[in-house]
Amino acid sequence: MMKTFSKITLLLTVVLVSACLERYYPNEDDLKKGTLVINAHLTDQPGDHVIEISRSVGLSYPSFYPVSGSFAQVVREDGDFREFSEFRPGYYKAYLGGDFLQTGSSFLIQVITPDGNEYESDLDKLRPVPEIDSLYYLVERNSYATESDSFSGLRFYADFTYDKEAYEYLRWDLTETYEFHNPDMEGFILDVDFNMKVLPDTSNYRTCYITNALSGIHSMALSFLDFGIYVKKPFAFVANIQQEQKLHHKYSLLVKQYSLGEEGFHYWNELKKTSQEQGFLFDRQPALLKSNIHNVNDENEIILGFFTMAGVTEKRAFAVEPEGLDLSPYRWYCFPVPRGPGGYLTREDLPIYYARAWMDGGSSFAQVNKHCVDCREYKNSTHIKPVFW
Amino acid sequence: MPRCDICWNIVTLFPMRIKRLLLVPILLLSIASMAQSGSERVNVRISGEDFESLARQIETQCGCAIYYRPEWFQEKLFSYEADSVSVDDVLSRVLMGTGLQYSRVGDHYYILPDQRLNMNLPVFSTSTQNYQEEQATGEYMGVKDDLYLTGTRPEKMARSIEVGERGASLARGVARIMGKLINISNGEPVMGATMVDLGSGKGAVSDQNGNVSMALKPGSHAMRFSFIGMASVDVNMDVHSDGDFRIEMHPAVIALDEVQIMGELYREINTTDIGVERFSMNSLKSVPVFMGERDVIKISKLLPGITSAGEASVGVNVRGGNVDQNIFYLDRIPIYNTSHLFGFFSAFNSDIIKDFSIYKGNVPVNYGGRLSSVFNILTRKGNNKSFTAHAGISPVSANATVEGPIKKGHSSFLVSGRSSYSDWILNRMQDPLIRDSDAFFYDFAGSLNFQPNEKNVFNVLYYQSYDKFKYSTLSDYEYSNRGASASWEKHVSPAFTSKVTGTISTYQFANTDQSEISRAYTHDYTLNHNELLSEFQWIPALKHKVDFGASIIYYRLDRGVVEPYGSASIRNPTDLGFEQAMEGALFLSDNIEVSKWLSLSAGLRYSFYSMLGPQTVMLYEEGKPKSENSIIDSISYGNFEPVNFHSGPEFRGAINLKAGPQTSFKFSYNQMRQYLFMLSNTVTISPTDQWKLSDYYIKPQFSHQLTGGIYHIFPKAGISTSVEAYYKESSDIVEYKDGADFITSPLTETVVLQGSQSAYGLEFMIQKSSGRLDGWISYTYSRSEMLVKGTADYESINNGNPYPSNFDRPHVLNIVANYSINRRFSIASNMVYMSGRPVTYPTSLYYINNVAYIDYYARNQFRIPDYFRVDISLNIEGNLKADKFMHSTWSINVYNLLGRNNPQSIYFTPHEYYIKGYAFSVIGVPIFTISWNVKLGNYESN
Repeated sequence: MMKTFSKITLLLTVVLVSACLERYYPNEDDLKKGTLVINAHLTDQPGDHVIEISRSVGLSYPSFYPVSGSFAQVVREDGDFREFSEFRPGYYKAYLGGDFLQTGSSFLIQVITPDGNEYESDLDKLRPVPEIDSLYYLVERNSYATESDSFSGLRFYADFTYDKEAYEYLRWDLTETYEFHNPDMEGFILDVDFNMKVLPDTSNYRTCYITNALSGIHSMALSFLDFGIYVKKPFAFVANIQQEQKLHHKYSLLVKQYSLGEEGFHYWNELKKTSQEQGFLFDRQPALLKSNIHNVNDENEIILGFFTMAGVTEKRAFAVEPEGLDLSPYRWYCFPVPRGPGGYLTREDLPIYYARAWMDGGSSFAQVNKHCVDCREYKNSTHIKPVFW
Repeated sequence: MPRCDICWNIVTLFPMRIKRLLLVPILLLSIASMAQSGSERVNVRISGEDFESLARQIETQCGCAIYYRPEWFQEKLFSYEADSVSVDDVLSRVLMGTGLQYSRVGDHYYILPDQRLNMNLPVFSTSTQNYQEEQATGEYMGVKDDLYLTGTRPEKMARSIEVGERGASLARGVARIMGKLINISNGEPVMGATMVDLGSGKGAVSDQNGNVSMALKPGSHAMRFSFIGMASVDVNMDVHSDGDFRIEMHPAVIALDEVQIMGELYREINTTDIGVERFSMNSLKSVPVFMGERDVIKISKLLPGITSAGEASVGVNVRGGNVDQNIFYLDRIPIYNTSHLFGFFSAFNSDIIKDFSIYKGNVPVNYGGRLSSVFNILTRKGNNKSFTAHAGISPVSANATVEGPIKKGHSSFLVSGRSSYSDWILNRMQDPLIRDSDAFFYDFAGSLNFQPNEKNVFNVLYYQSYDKFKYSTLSDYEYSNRGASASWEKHVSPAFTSKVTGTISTYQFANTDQSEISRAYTHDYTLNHNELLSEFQWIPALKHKVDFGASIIYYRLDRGVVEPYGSASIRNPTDLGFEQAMEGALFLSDNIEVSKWLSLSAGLRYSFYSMLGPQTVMLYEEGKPKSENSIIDSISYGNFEPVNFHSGPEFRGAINLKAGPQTSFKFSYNQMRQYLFMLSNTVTISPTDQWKLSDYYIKPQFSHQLTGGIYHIFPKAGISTSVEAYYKESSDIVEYKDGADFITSPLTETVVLQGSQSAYGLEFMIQKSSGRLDGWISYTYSRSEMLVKGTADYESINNGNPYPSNFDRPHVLNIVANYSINRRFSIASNMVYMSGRPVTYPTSLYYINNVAYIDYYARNQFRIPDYFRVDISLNIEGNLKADKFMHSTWSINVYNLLGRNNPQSIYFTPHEYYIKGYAFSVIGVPIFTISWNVKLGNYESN
């Protein structure tokens, strides 16, 4: 409800009194960094599971600050355990099989950092998870104006059945994959020897598949609901933005549904409120999140992050050239526009990519960015068609 | 001893002009000695004595002679006490209202009926300009000029009135007089006017029904009645015994006399009031406003000690207290939601408001129930002389008021309404969701006023406000205040007044949320407040006033059932519960002027409260956080069975130490108890926040406040200055656990924590209330801090460390200035500077699966950028013709003239590897509005 009020009040403020939203840069000196962060969100899916161990960082030029050389293991309530090994700085991996991940069992993690401090989490029970009955989309217009105008697009929804008390607390992760087409142009490369060559078709990647984990936390308590079918649980809104092409060819959304305990739900829910539901007229105080991981020898040490064990299920939906949207291509995307004579080039500037495009019976030849002739250059992009495509 | 028999025998034989001519040689003979005569200082002590005694005292000390005719003073007794005053001062005060004037020629004082001797030749000067210049130097040109200027203003003519019965014996030696002050133009009582005995300097203030009372010694008293925007009335009051009188006051003809702040300068010095602000709406008509809507709550934020957490936020924070620590009375109807449009506008239509008072320091004993302040808003009574109407439009709303007599001079009605029409803006938007949205409000008030005789007054007020928001088909929200009050005030005797008031007030909201159809819900909430209040005032003796009474409140709170909405909703109905409670109070206060320099006010309010069944109280396992999981048992209470009982005294006291006629020092101690509070987990009050009664677990809140102040006035310049310092400690203040949700569970105790709040501050105020330029400058330094530290970690907030309140703004500077160019044009400006409010900032970032999240470590340890705003307005009155059917006023306002972005909130959103910070400003550009008001009649019409 508060989110709805935020929308209404934002609307009123924008329409009536010209509200203003600006970027804000806090003072770096005000920061307190270096707090230990342990994230271990393990599921009942057999396979590799990861524990992240790092320290918090400042707001300017932030990057993952790993804590290497730690010991980490997950322990089942009956004493059985699996040890994690560091596979890249700050990331610890272990294969957890189905025999270990028994639904109904409780687990905890133990961590020893290189400085010798020992940490242990509270026990968390592995709960079953309801299936997602269906995942679908509707064409909508996003009216939540923040930085840009509203867009038409798709809103994805899920239906699921709530018929067990063990399903009381749910969380969802969303991952999108979409097909991206570069414009139909002839590609060239000016190589390091100053030779201009036509890019062979094998190097001129025009169709790619971009996969992104969608930021944003989706969580819900079902404890106040009656058993039944939950319909139209709304998820991500995918805006139809011409340059992004997300909806122009084929779009897929993968929804992973996790079943949490009360403490785990509270953690994710508060993380959601403090990171997604702030601002505007009815600000709420950001929660000072308490971890369920503690220093064994110093109860006053503040730890960030959380440990959860969750049952997980998933569903994927596709949208292929959905009706009701303007899917006309953006013809000027990557279009090679000659810019007149430039300065001289050195070997350090090479290679440089060029493209020739045809339009209205003529052609245009000019330097372009590499991603215009090789769509693999986009972030999280590959030319290999996913198996589910 | 009369010395002037011969002179007067001569003078009285001739007409006025001849008298003056005959006096010329006498005066010429005396002029030479004038230069030698100084302003001799004398000490005067008379009490109910005749004029001869006074004259003798003066003559003995000054060596001068006073000439008069004894028969002019027959049966007139005088009371006057003063040290080291000039003879001129004594005579001018004593003769005030007698129709007699004195003139000084050297060491001789001549007393003449209704005229003065003219010392300047030629005698007949009729230039207005000369008159004004002479007035400025204290000289006086003569009665002809006086008549020239005031001949059309009979209220300026001094007259005599008699109070009580001649010859009545007064065993106690004191007469209690009770007056009724009436605005002659509309028959409305004049509230807040002062009655001052110019002889003794003692004064009193009229109440909301225009009644004013005082204990005086029998004899002749020069009395002055004054009020902002009204012409002062001077009378010679011959007091014989207890009795009533009536004074009719006229609106001031000269608009430049109007001042911004209500209240006589001297009242601030003479009374024990401390931490009190008073306004009349008339005096605020030039202050720049937001979107053309005059708003008492926004204006109150320009005063010292009153702030809010945001630009468009509901309610105010007074002296470091939470928003729910203030009560808003509209003619004693408590208004539980004081906002329209989520706080952009106040729910009070300024057209019905006559004036309002804010008690934030020493609160009178007949008010209670909130820790921080009482906003006492009084409505206008209908015009009981003639029918009239007002109307106005602004970009947001239109309003209209009709009023008139039911029985001329005795009873009247007033009906006023205001409605928004802002939907047209939304309907023009392209976005279909916005186009389908509505935002609408209205308010309505109707009042009846009966005054069958001078001893009885009946008032009835009905008030309703309503707001509705519809966000396409996703959400509906509406709320309303409805209330009525009926009061009967009876003047049993001049010394004793009683007043009985009955009020009912209902606050309701209803909302439907369909943002997710499977958990769509609808929820209704209702709070009823029914109150009976009896107040009595007794004036047992001179300089002694006693107020006492009792009140009883019955609360009926239906927190409502959160019910599934629509066939697809699988939400379980959640009954948030029904509550009822009784709150009562007995109160007594004694105001006494111990001496000329010391006044005391001592009061006690004893309040009690009990929540009543039916109620089921959950019992929780010891040593564990209260939650549904730790319930071990429950207790059931039957209908009207007490669930809890709290009671206790609230001591209220104040001292006024006068350090002279223009300076005083005041101190007060004030205790308050509060038995209901607001369930809110947001920084500013949100629409679905609920009032909740103190219950089995949640204890009543208590505060005590110590205030001290220095007050000094500069009467000639019309300037008053004050410095007030306060320290306030409050206990059992309600705070909320992270993630508190008030609609999924009725068990409020599982999400509530209680802590202590401490606040202190220093408030400076300089106020100019006369002349072409008026207004005020206020500066406040204040701090407010919360501490929630339980015995266990889960009972603490901010790790059990103190943290600044959400509205803690150390520095606040307000400047309000109004310049009257002439009677038709005035410009006004506000300047507001405030320290940014506290905010909880990220202290660092951390990563979960490559997404950056924020670590908030310590609550409210940082501040958003400071707030600075300048507003300006131009008010244009229509022409000043006396004979016109309709008078209109244009008001051109620019709010936030500098277009400065003042952030309301700072927040951060996570992104892959980094976060983005945003500053949200409610108003980011100058807001230009024009509003138009029209009324029947001319400029002076009410």
